[in-house]
Amino acid sequence: MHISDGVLSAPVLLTGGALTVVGTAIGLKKLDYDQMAKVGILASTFFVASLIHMSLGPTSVHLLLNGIMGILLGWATFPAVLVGLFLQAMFFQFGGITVLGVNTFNVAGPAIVCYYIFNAVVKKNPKYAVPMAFLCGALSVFLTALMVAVALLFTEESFMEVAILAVTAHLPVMVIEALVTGFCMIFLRKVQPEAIPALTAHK
Amino acid sequence: MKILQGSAIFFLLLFFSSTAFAHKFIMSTWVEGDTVYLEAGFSDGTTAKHAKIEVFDNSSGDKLLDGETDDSGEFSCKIPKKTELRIHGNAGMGHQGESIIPLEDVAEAFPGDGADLSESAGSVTAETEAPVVSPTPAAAGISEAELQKIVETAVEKKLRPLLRKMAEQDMKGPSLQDIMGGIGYIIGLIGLGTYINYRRKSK
Repeated sequence: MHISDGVLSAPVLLTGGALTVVGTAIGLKKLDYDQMAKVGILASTFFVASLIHMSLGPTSVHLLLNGIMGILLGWATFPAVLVGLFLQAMFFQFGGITVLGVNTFNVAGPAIVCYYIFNAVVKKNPKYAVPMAFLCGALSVFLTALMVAVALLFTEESFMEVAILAVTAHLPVMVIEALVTGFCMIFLRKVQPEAIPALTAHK
Repeated sequence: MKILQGSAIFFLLLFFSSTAFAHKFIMSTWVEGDTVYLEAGFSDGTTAKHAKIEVFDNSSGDKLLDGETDDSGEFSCKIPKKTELRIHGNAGMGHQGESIIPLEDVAEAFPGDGADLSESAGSVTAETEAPVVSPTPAAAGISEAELQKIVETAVEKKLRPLLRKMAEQDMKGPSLQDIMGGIGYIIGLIGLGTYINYRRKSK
């Protein structure tokens, strides 16, 4: 969900910016350079994914893929999303530079949440990896929609209206992302389980 | 190993990019005669239905009128005041845009004040005035002002398809070049990161 320049008030922009700076710093510190290829591929996928959109009545929504990014990258999602959004702003003029911090946090924050939830369950029970992937795919989109509503709350509109609108508009996206994340997990588990941090950490 | 993992996710990327659309809120405005026309949509071609439109006097900041786009994403209104106009469109969920209508375009709607017309630079009417003035139109039974109006209407009719076409160009989404450019940057960053890591490790 890309918020455009000039919509949000200054305090919201600064908060989002600060949170993103912190998240990106942590992400870069924890970045395992052997995993760079993985980060690059997921960043590119995210970059293109936002172009795939569905129009619903007055508005249009697009894929986020932050579920699978969180599960596979962990904290490195922050720099990946930041780079992806920055390039989108430069090349496609989606969103803007001032809102970069808020947009990054809205997408990467839920990804981190899903990362921890996924790991908590899957480390103990690896067989739940696929159902958890389906769940996290939907959850990450839901949380992002919620955070967009929170960001807009501090501008003009009333929270409930925007929250309901944002979440319902993203319901189809949640379904599709759940499927994408789940099938990705099925495939990766068979082919390359080392790519999934939750499964490799499991001793 | 990385190749297998890479290709897994890359296939996903290819699969989706064949249906790629864009997602930027765009507003095109133009003046015809005494009416301002507006078309709002997203850069993949879908229109923004029932988007809130507000027209402001750009010099004083006062709101002159408001309305919303219809089911085809279009809106029009008579120019309310002879001043530079600022039009603000909001399609909800953080999608908004602004357009400025310069004084020259607005002035054409108020032909009573002859001085303005001759001042507007590059105005089509200024060019057509020269040949009209010298012969005596009174003999043909059409006054100068009426002839001017006829010429203006004819020219606008010819310009309309051109203006529509220009508005459409604005609405084109990200091109393949943009996508390739963005992905190129990501690959570059990954390469840079890997190189730095290599240098650090070999020390």
